[in-house]
Amino acid sequence: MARINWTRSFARFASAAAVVGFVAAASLLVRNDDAEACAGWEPSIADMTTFDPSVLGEDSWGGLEYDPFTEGYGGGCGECSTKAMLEDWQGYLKDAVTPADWQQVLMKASLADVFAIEQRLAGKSQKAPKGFETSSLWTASAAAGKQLYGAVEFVELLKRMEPNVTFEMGEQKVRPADPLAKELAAAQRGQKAAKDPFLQQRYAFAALRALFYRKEWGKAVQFFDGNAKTLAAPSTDLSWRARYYVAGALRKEGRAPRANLELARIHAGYYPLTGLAIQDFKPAEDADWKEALKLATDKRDKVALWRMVGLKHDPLVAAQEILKLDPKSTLVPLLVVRELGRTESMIEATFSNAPDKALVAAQKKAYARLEALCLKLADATGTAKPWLYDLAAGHIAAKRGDLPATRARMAKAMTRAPNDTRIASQAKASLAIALVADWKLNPQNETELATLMRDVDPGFGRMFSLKNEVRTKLALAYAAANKLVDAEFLAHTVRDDFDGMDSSLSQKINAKWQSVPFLKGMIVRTDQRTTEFDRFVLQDSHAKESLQLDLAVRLTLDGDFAGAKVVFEKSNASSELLRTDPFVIHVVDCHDCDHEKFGAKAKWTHRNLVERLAELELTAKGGGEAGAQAALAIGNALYNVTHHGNARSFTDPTHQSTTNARLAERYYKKVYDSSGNRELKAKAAWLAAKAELGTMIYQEQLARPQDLVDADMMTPKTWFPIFARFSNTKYYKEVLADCGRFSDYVAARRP
Amino acid sequence: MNRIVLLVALVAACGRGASDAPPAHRAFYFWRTTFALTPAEQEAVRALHVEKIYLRMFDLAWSDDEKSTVPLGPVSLGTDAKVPPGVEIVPVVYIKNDVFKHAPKAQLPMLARKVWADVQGRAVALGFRPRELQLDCDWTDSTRDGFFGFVRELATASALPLSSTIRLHQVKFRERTGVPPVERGTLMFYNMGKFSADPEARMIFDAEAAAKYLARLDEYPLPLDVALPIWSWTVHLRDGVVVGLMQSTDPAELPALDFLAPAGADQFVATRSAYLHGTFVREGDVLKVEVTGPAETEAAAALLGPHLRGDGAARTLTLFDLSERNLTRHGTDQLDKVFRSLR
Repeated sequence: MARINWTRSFARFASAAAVVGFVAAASLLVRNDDAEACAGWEPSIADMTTFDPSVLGEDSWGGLEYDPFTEGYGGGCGECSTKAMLEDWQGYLKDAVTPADWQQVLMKASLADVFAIEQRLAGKSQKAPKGFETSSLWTASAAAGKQLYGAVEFVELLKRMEPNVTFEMGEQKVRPADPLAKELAAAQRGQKAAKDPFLQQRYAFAALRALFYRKEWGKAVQFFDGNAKTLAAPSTDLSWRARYYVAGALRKEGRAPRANLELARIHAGYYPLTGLAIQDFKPAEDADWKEALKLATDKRDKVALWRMVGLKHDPLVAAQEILKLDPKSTLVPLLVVRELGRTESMIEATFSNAPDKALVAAQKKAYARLEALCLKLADATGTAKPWLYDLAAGHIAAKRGDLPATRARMAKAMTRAPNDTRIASQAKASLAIALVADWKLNPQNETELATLMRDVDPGFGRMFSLKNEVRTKLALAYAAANKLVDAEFLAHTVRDDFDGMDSSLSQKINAKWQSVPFLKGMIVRTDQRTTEFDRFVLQDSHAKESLQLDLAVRLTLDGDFAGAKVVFEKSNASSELLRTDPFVIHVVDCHDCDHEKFGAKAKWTHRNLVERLAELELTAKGGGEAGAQAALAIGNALYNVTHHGNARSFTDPTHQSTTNARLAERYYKKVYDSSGNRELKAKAAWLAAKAELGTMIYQEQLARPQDLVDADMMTPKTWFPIFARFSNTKYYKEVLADCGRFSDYVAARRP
Repeated sequence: MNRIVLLVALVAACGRGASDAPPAHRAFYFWRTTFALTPAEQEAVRALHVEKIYLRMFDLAWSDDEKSTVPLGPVSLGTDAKVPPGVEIVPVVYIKNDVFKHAPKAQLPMLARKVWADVQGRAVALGFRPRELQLDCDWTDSTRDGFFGFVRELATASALPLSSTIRLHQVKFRERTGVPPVERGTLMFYNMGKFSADPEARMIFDAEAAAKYLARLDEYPLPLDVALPIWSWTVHLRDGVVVGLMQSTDPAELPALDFLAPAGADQFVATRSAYLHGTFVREGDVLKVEVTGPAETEAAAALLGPHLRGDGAARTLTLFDLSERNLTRHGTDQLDKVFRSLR
């Protein structure tokens, strides 16, 4: 398990390394090729944790979810700025023009279009630009027309600025030596000339942007400070965006403390810019940080700064600092939830393997620190959402298996916040986790656990990981108690390992899937639904029909065709189309060719194959050439249902997949022993040799399960020499032509 | 240190002696995101007769959001940036392995053309014409086909000789990971330990770990250049586990910081929470320093030298990486010695 954790840790380092651009982040020993090769699914935080952050409710502005692979929270909101801009203009222009027509001017009109619109609004032209012929721009009243003219004049400035309000210049473009100089002057003139606050703010914002993209950082800051009142209203969106520009200018100017403070203000004040603000928030040195705190003159600003630290770097320290400033802050529960997510996700939920000891010890310490804080806050007066601290402390107690402490904390949380489904669900989930952490197998525990799991709301945000944890731990406990049937039912829906390739849970349970009594026990268990625990064990687990098919397939592989037939006759065992003809045999196997050839046209299903085998068995027992032919057909089918043949679809939906072809070999031997037809004997000998090779592979797999079998070096010792005696048969020549392995064998035997 | 010396002595005793190959071409990696050499760096380049600078142009990564390959952290031109006279700039593109896990094979020709166009554009802006292009990718057996396919496409698109960084595991397990279709490889003789809280554990250069990978080095089917480490870094630990790597933190600056107190050999403990070069260090966290000084770099060169196969041509020896603090720690004379030690 440690290797998976290392891979994950490495991924974190690697992504950090990519950001700073470092050639050597990859470690020789840290990396793990196998893990990478198998990795098909990256677990999300929801898969790695069992505490549902949504218990906090919807008043936390998002940011509940700690994501181990993302610093902070919040993405860019491209649509927000467009939406806000359109709403601002609509509020300003009111009925002077329809919103759609004005949107066309803002978003689609070219500079030439805008100029033409201005001309017409000024009465200097009667021509409307293409696409604007029927615009409501032309039907405005005289007074509205004047307002519209002023607005379009501003849009013209924006269009003129557009090509240079970026630092990303295309390959072909050369940045002008003195960019945006005219536009800056025009914006400043416009600001002075504008008669209303709306246009004043927009011109001021345009001037600020021009200064920013002219890289006049100091002047941009100065302009912002000197025009703070104008930039602050009436548009809220624009006021925050202006602050974002000034934060950028401050950073470029090397004034990191104030830049970080402005970014913290933005993050705390304006949701659409949270993603950008937290991305840019980068306190570098201790002195910078202290200076930022010094610049934060009031409590709100200081809290905003620590909020950023909490969301981006360290929730625990930030929570403690915010508590000093504001013991009632609603941010503290949010940060506690994030710290709990961070701590729980330190170790991936792979319960069937022992995690790295150092990580476990580190997690224990992290839990202890957080629990201490939660207990202190739970008992303090006047804290926001005090039940959260009971809930979090209870959850931490549950993770270490402290059932009494979990019960006490959960009871307190539910008393403090009654009638809240999310809180109640979390309390039940945590109690269930505490119960299974140190499972004592008795009816009382079984009933309590099953009832808790039943009563967790289906919308609980950590249902998958909760079920995973509870069922895996129980499966292992029941396997240890030799209750393999229950262990298998519990384990069936568990995702044991996030790389999807690890079978260690099933290996630990070690259920006897190849045992007929075990399979019968599994089938019987599906009907035992008396207690709550019975129902919990069976929930979403093995279906009876599948188990019946498993049994029928097992009996077939054991050679009990009649018994298998009875299973189909007396139960609802599922049966599927095999998409191949299991009686077709080749000198050299070709699974895919046969599936391509027969596919959906093939008539064979699990059920009718079993029925046919039962019929053939009777004929085979009759002896003679007819019996030999029947035995050959049975041998072919039994070979084909192994992994070597063309009909492994027979075992695919079951636990009976095998490479063991021993039974097929026995039937071929029967043919060989009983037939007087030399061609048929040759064929039986060759097919027996193939089956012998298949069994050799099977035995090698059993002996060395971790290694890939190298079948190239294997030679069927019994049947190759026998088949070699049939060199005068037509079939022999066919084999010699088709099978390199045999022709090599023959060549090697030549003196 | 004793361990390093012992191993070097053993290897030297079993080695095949100094080669008759011509002296190595001298080079540095430049891995910062703004290309501009400080006066001290320019002076070192001149004094050490450096012939090439391997310049990271950008990283190539897979973006899950955009479902496509994206360049990250492109190098930009610093104020007063100029290529030192007589020095060849070799552009390097670092490609994250996940690119070849996600990017469809059919898109590789287009990707190669885009990468080459981007490299060319940046080279023009920086004022040099590439004569070689290097790719840095920790490919594995699961991504080799994608990476090798990309290399072939890039060779066609750029019509330049390509080189590739080669990691030690790619040498040892070359039957699995394959040999890239490039003109030359640059063996990265570093990053051979593991991230660990263990005070003894070394990640940058660990002679014992390195020795395990050298047995068949002389059979590697590509002509090999060499990259040796001269950098140091600080490992950030919390509760006994590694939580981060502070690459931009010079261990030499730690003793002077008022929020750190010495805590055993090469370790400091934070006495209060503070920011340090962008990393938030919590009170109680431990910073473990790993210094690659002259002794370590020299030991690396001595360990590697006897295992390199000569082909009569001069190989390139590149030091990672060019920075004032690395130059200061090693000193020009010592670096000159390292450059002279490998052929």
